[in-house]
Amino acid sequence: MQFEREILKGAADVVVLKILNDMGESYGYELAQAIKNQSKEIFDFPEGTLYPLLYRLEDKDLVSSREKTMNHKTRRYYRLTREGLKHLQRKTAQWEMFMQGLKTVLKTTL
Amino acid sequence: MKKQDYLEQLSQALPKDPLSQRFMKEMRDHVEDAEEKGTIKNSLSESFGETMILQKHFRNVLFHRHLFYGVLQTFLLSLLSCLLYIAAMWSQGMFILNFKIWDLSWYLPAELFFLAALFLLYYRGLPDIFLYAPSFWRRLPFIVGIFIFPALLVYFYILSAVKSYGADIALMKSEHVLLLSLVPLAIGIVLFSCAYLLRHKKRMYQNTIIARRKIIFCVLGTLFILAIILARLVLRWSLTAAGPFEIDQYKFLMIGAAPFFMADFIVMMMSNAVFSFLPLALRFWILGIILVIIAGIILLQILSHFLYREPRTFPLFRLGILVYIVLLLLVPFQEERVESIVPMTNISKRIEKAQMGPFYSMTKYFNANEGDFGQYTLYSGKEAFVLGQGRERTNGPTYFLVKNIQDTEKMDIASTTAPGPDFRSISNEPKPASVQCVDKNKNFSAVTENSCDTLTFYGQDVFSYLGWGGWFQDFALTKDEQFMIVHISSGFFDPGTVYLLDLRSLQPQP
Repeated sequence: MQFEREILKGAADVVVLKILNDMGESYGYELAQAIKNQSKEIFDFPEGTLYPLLYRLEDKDLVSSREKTMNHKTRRYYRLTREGLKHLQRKTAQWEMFMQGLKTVLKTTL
Repeated sequence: MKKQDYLEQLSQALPKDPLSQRFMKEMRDHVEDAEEKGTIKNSLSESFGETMILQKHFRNVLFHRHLFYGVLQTFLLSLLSCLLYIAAMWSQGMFILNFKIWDLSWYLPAELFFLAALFLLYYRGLPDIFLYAPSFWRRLPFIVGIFIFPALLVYFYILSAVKSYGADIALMKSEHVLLLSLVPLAIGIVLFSCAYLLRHKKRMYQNTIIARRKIIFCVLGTLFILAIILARLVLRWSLTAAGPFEIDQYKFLMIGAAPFFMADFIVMMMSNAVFSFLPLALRFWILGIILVIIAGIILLQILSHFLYREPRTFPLFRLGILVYIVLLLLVPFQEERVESIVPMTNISKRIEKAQMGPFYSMTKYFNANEGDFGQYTLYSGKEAFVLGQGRERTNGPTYFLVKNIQDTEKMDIASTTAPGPDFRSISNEPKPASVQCVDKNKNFSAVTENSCDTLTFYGQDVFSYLGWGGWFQDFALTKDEQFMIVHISSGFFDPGTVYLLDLRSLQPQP
């Protein structure tokens, strides 16, 4: 599903951090598929945009990465940092409140 | 589009940077995995994103990376160059010259620091930030920034060297100045081209720094602590030992006596930077307008952060720039610190305010070190004074008659021709015996015979100069000794200030 840029902007960080937290450690392709599957294909954004997002999270010290060889293939694996976990917890609380409010407003008929 | 073509197109769209290589490797692996698992949609662009979109997202990351480290490097290198410069000045003072840190030579390091900062900002940070900026609006401040350094260079070193006249508002409109403002533009284009050609070398260096960011913070913190410890040690040494830091009766290391050496240093540097910048913003009025526009853009960005973003991402850096620009444009002129026990009127301020209107404060800074504009010669009459205001050297002074001095509210100041025979120049006259110039606070910066800081009238302190760096250039009484006029000079090439003192309440009893 295509979302407007402004809506996606705030949510993308949380989605990536949450999935990474659940997976422990993951590489780009695996992460992109997990996002798609876990969101029931609602978050189906162009997969290439995942990497600039990961670099940005890395710059903020929310995510760390390292190269690792698995099944004879060397890939870069990403995982959450301690700061990333705190950020995720804070953001999750904010989003839950936000969605609760939004749902209430959308369901209300005057 | 085939896989190879897609990846090739993407590779060409990215800037040459180690991060680009990493991105391309990850994208190749990703496409291969998708191919293997059969998860590619109708086209590669649909699955992985349009080249243009990916390029934009990627440039955004690079922009933010280089912005921070560009500025950090600038700060570190500027600080280092400044410290080296001050060390050189100190050693020069210790071994060669009778050098005092609190005189005008102190401003020179600060000014050079500012120039060095701009220079390094230009060469180390701006061109790359400019290249990585994902949109025109993000590039704009850096485009402007690129031309500020050469403009300053021209102002300080070329314009100052060739001009032999004072400056006022009318000059800003002159063709001569407008032509000069084109020079920095041309220099800017040349410098920018050079920096563009050298960008690859620069990037390699910067990315090494990025990889060691935590170390940088540790080094920075350690350096700062060491600098404070060193400053304190030097302070103790200079206060307890008559060593090489004490050259004459004044402590050589006056700045070291301040408890917060580094803080003082930074404050002085910043204020000097603002004051140095102000004449530029005025002289090259186009730059002034550009600065206002930048301030507006930054303000809008900050507002948008307030409205749409979380506090964590508050743009402190941008706010800093905004505050600086606002300071630059609005900084009020700090008048001399004087104290009087009788009513006093700042006559020169009245004259200059009438001349300059809302530009008064700015033109005061504008005229600093600008020759004889705003310097006054004084003529004393029976119940009036004439002030000769220095303007352009070639045109001679403009005269102002100050009359009705009995009532400061009704005091009349009007331009006049040269003073007539009723007026005598007070600079050639012996000083009145009833007024004495006494040294109360050891104003060591004063350099003339009037190097005192307090004027007495029949033994009573009436007027004190509390600042530093200035002196009583002239003072005179009316014949009936009811009014005194005092001219304070703050430098040989700086504007002076003229005060009128009402001494009627202090008349000696018969």
